[in-house]
Amino acid sequence: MRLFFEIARTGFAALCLHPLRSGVTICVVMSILVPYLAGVGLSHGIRDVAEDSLRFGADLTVTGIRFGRTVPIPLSAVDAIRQIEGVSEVVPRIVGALSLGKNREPAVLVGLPHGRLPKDVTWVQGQFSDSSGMHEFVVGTQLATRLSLKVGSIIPPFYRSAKGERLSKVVGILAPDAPLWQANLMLTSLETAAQVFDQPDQVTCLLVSCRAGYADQIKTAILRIASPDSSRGTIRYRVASRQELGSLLPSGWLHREGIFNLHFVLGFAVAILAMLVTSGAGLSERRREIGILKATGWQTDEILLRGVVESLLLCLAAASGSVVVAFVWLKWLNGLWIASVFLNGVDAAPSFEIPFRLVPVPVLLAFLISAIVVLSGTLYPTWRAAIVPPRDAMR
Amino acid sequence: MLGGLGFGPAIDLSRCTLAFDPRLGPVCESQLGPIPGGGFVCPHHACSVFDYSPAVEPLLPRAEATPDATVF
Repeated sequence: MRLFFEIARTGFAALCLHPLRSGVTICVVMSILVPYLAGVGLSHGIRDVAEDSLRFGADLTVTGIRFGRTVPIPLSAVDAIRQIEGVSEVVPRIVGALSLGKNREPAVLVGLPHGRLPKDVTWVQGQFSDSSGMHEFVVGTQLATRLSLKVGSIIPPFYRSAKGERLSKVVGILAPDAPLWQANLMLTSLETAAQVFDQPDQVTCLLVSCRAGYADQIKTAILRIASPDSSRGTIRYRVASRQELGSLLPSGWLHREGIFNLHFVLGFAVAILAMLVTSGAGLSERRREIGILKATGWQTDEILLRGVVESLLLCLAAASGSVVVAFVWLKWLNGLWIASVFLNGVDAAPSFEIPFRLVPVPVLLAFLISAIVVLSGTLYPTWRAAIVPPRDAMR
Repeated sequence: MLGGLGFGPAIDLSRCTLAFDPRLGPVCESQLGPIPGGGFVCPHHACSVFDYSPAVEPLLPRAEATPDATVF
């Protein structure tokens, strides 16, 4: 056992003997692992945001469909759904897309009834006033940054409406530490949202809260209701329950594709470089070193053990360094540049807090990947050099 | 605060409603499935670290979802 540790110690000595080779190997492995860990960390962060959205969301979300496409629901549907047994609350909501500014910045306009608009919420700097002649908006962090909006800023008319256009006022900015979805949000009252989209008495969805145990029954009842829409025919309802959305999370989370597959392909391509560095570029000096060891009485298995220890220390250093770099990048640098790679539409320097969570499994996987890459680059050439006569190896 | 909003990696509705929140629309508008590579036209389904299937079957009405395919 003592001999084993003595040989292992020489593995550490071999690491320090060639600092350039060790440094290059660690950097190459880190270049694969850091984007991987950052991506997985972001993925977990988004999942956390989605879980919060589910937890604090309504029991049922009702939308209208026609020709299989989502369409607005008449506001009169609120009363019909409110009469169903077990329904405790029905909140109409408008969620629509629009673009603002000369660069046509995309925004998500959300309209809620006056009583539901947040007041004295820590996420919002500023608040809605009780009476104002102008349209009032609370805007998301990224949108405010892109359009240089502050609390009190006046937005000239940006829409066309049958009721005419009015000035709008920014009465609040969402805090940067609010969830991801607030980045391009414009929050306003239901009446203002209806006027901006010029869709009076229509909403995009209904948020239904149910008494405990009634959700399935209410969903069935809503699906049976056919909402007549004056001369345009009938609107059918689509109902998404909290349980159904909850079942989406694991599948969505596991259904990562695209950039991640690309990353793995790139990772293995870079791993080939790592193998070249550790086996090709340092091969002659490694062969000479092994020849000397063999000439002084070392056995092949002892030389291999020395190589394994050297490689494991290299990959441990690379994996540990990758975790630290990924954490610093996502936490203190707020995902500078890397967040825009993984999240479409996010600025290179995000103006809001990027959600992320580093969990043990990807870190262990990172260690495993680095071990495979480094060991495959070290062990085979070491074994090739160790089985030839010392005289040939030293030549 | 808003009754549940934001359920995916998108931060606006300009490209994919599904990636922003499947409750608002259970189908990716950019999905060109039968065309080879058509599933990757949507940036959120090609380059995201977190995505949902381009058609979220549990949220489709029963008449639109069949056991082996999604019918529009």
